[in-house]
Amino acid sequence: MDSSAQPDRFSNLPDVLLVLIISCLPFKDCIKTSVLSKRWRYLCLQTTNVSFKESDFVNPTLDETSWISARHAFIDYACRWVDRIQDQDVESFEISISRPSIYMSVIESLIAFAVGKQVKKLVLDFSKPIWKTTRDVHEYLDLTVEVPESVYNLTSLESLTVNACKMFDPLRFKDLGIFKSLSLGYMRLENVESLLSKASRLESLSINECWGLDFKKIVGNMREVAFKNCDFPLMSFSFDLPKVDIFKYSGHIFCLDFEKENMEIKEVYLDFGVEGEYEDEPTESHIAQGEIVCNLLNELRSAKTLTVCPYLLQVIQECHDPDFMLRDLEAQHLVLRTKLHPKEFMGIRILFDKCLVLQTLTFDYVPPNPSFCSETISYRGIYPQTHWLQNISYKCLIKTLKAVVFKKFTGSLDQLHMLNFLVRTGSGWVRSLERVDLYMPNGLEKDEMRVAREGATMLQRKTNLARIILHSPCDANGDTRPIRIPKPNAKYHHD
Amino acid sequence: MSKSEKKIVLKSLDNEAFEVEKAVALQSQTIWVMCEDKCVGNEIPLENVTGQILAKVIDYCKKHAVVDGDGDESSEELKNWDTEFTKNMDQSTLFNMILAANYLNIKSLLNLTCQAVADKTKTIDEFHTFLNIENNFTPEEEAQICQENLWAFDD
Repeated sequence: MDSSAQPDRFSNLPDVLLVLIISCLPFKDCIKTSVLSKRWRYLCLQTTNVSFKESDFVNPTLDETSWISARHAFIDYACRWVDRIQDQDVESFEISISRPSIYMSVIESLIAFAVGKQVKKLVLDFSKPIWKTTRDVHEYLDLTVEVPESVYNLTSLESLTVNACKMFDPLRFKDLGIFKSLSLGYMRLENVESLLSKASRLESLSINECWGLDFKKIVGNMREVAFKNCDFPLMSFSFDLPKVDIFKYSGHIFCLDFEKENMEIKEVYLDFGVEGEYEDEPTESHIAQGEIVCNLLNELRSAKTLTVCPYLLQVIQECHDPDFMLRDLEAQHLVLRTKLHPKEFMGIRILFDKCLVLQTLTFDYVPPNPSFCSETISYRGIYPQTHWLQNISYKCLIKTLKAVVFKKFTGSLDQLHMLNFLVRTGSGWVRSLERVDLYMPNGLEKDEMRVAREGATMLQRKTNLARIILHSPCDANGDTRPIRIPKPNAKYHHD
Repeated sequence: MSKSEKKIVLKSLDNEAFEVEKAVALQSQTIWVMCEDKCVGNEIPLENVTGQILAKVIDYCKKHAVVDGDGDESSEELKNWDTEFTKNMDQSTLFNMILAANYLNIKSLLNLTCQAVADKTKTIDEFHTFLNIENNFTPEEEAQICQENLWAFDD
């Protein structure tokens, strides 16, 4: 690069401004700036955003001995870092370490450091990466670190994350009114209702893998609320969230009741993956679940972006007369996390029918397990080869749908049946579809890439209205690039 | 307060004059102090900021002055506006915006523009290129630093 044309301006900035910039970088990237030049050598030490994450330092696949020494090096690094810091500001501090028992005193001193700095954002995470559900956590053996009194007394905290601490009690905080963001995980959590009544300025609440949640009603002005795989002793609870923009729920199907609808809700994410799936005829409980899911979608129907899971797609058909039960949804963007199993087809059709103003349809493909052969499977008289050939369309597909996005596109037959249905142009059908973006998954062999490309080419031959764009797997920077496929023929084709 | 007193004129380095509402301009602590001190009239000379950059700063202040008064109803919208505002700024504009935000002492704008520099650079190589920094280490020195912070450089 010609340095006279683009002078090294940023180096003319005073240190305090450069520190502001590197404080915006993730801690690891901030450390990397130390090799930029001599001036930058020690600048990173002044970052206000300090984060010691075991996952950044220690490769979990190491053998036991190397793992132990890598953890020592990690803790040693953290200690030397905080020892060097004198009277500079630290705004954000994170310590994440699994199996903390042998480093108790170090952890105490690191937390004391953060308290001394009056941090605004604090992350204390002692969960193990291998934990998948609440049942993996042994409350009395695994939860060893106790949040010290000094943290409860902090009056600077705006954002707090606490995972896997012993006897954590948010009601002990001196001033809950200052919290804007709260994320709690892998712990017994009681008294959430009184917590929320005091945390009046809370904007974001996230509760992950917690148990003992004895609340009946969640009330507050939060903009973002997320529950992930929690154990609820009560069988139903309700929400009064007039300002919520983003609502995410993962876990078992419960009676979740929304007292007041928020007509402005932007994003709803529902994942009932823990329910597994079922074969054959539905039982009474599946029918009940179908009703609950229908009600939930009705209550959240103002969501602009709606993300659903394979289990929802399967179970929604079980409610009595879903066409009648389910009201019109306002989703402009529908994200289907789907295995494209015939079990899910009726659910997909029900949603197409009810999303009258859909503009973007995203498939987030969940690959079936390898032994599963999509061509031989049928479900309640639904055959994957022929199901999407039926001459049925939906208002949104004809009038409003502009874009289809398909993630993990491999050109497999189940994917092509579905996409073929969406791009198909029939006589008398107006199609609004403008583009279809197909993203290949990472790790495809050359032959598999060829199959995907042929699939995309086939789809493009079916339509001269929509442009089919095939994207390569991600490169090292996480970027994809389009792969050329033949342009549609000028002449009109349809099958 | 009469109508004329509510307005204020900001004059850039290249003598471009901008008439703005006082409430808009006072988001700059520097201007606020100048007005409090009554050391200036209705026209404030800003000797470190060009007209091109000052126009952008005023855009930002206008947007934030209106919405702040409106309560928190559209804070989401404001965030989106901020993202759009910095999205297409090139290196030199961002650099000048940071200097201007610092000189005018508008903390939220300073944070926004610093964050934008960090966001535009996904990898350290991009950071290097974007900030156009000349590396004056010997390969040995560089290897030494990497060794001291091995965890950060192992990928």
